[in-house]
Amino acid sequence: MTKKQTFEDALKKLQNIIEVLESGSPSLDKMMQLFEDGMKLMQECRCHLTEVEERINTLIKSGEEFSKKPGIDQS
Amino acid sequence: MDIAGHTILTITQVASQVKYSLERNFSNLWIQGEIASCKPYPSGHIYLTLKDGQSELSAVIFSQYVRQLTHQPEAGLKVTVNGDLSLYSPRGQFQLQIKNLYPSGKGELWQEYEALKQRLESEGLFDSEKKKGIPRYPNQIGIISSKEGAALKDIIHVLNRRAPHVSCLIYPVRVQGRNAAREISTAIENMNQYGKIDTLIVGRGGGSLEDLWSFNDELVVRAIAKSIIPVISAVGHETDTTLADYAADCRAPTPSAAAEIAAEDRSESNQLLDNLGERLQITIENTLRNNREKLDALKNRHGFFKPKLILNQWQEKLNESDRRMKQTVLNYIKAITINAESMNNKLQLLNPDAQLIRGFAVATDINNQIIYSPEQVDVNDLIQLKVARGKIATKVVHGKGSDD
Repeated sequence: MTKKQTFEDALKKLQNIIEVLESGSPSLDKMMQLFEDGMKLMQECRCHLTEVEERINTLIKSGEEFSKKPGIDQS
Repeated sequence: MDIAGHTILTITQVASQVKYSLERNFSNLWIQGEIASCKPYPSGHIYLTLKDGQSELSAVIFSQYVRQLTHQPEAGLKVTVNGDLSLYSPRGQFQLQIKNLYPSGKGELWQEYEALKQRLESEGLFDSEKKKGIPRYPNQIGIISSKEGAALKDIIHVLNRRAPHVSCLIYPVRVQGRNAAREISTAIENMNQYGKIDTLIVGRGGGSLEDLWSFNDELVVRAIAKSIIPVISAVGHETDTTLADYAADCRAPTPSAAAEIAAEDRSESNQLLDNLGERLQITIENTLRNNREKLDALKNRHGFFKPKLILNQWQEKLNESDRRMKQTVLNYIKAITINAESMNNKLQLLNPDAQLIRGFAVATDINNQIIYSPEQVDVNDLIQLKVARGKIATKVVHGKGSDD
């Protein structure tokens, strides 16, 4: 899963869209477009909140190289 | 005013000279003793009495210093205090104006602490305007702590519960002992170098003053202040304040609290999204309904019917034209028919055969030429008479021009 933008950015955009929609000012075409965009952003936000596999890792530095080891490294 | 060579002073003059002398000769003292009594006032100042076996000393902590205290004073506590002597002129009492107060026995340590704090503060390492905000919705949180420590377990536990969608990257370090400060500061630098981390939690669980001392180390404090990644400090318990806490972008009272600050609860985020989704749905439903209503209203408007009316009128005109055209054609045909009949009648009248019916006969010579005059024939010529129902062959008996 590639996260195109941060949850915060997506959330902010979504909130903006809802505010514009609630103001009721745009044309119907524009509103339908905004609604569609809003649904996509909603999906994206939900995606951010799905559980991450192997989410706990230990960062190890050897020389100038970084590597990740799953879990809490007990070595 | 002089009396026998002695200068006579007013009380106020004495007080102000004593005050001057005290402040000049007894500033920045480090004094060890026990708090005999301690009374906070509504003004925010705290008045204390310090004592040892033989003597007592009045002391005050002014409100601006109360807010910065590393430890809270209480009666019975053995303390080392740092402050200046001064005179409270209205009562002629000298008192110690305390700037900070530390549990006793670590006097030298605290002197170092205070000196370092002032130095780093003057360098701007603790400036509040330099503090970075802690992201509410991180993707990855970096944790710098001991891998065996309770702090790490607490942090992971809280993050498992609140934010199973957020990754944790652990950088194990020693948090006490000789090399701890270097390890912690290197870890902060490495985490910054690695990047991809939204928030750093640096900390450890509770312990003795010496256990926590690495977090007062200049290396650690500088590394925190320099970090590009926002840092939450989480050292010991709520009552322990280290220099790391001053340098951090956010100070958490405990490691668990740090984890709560570091990530918004997922169920709350989901609730927020539910709410936004509902609003999105409602706006679009309202829009669609409004438009449907507008359309209905338009359908019932007169203007919408007008084209139909015009069409009907045209249809009628067309029908009328059609009817008239057909009538014209019929009339014409009728007229032609009548004319044709009369022509026919006229023709009938001109038909030679018609004359024969009325008893006339047509005479022709042998060459089948109609005979109009007697000169056309001679006596004994054969001629033919055509009558209504047939032909008669006959002979000329009387000749030309005869009148008989």
